[in-house]
Amino acid sequence: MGERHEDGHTDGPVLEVLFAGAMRDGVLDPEGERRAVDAFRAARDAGTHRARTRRQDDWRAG
Amino acid sequence: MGQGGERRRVQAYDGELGAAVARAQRGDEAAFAVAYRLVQPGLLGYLRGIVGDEAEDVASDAWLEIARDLGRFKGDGAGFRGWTATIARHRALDHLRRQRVRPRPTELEQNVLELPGPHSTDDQALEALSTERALALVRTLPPDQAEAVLLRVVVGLDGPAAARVLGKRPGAVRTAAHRGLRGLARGLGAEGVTNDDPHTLGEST
Repeated sequence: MGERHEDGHTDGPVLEVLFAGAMRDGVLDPEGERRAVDAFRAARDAGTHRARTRRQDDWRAG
Repeated sequence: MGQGGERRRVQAYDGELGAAVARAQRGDEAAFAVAYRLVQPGLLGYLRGIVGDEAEDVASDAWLEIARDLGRFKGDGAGFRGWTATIARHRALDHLRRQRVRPRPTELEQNVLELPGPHSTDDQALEALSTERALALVRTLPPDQAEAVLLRVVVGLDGPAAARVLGKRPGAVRTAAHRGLRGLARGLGAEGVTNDDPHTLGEST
């Protein structure tokens, strides 16, 4: 992990942790989740999830 | 050598995320909600950095597309974070094109940068970092550096995944991320940050 140095500066990983925490902060909106799940259900029930994998959808490793 | 501690923390959830995505693809609605909760904080943080206040609206658009195209996705939890970040990025760029505005530091943001932090003694300068201050700082970065840092650190993508989202060479993204982190450190008034530390992002080269 990063360290606080004698001259007071903080390097790399500690900065990342603080920055990531600050940017990800906030309570998730339950309405947002509900909308997303509704969209999921609609797509599933319409058979949309049977669509083919395009190149941009293939994120398998290697 | 060091590893990116924050990215590792995000990646600790990748197994759970991958399992949830697989179940969602087989029709499990509750599993999709799990995937949403695991991905949304990082996604929203990323979008805040590029579109600011409109982040929630853009994220909402992104999730409609993610929900619709879920069946097309192939990959594990880490891959899902890369795939969803790409979708979010496209929605963000569409949004910016419609607005024909790119976020710039406003006078208010510059004032935030000049204020002492909540703890202004040297050895406590970084103990608390508000979202507002983090946002103001990231907006002072050139866009390529801001995106590289956001994808690596907030979304938690590794180098190759971030490069794929951005459509750039991994080397260029690595350089942009290092410069961006140095810029953030300078903005926080962290003195003595002079060297380009390749260990910052957990990379061996």
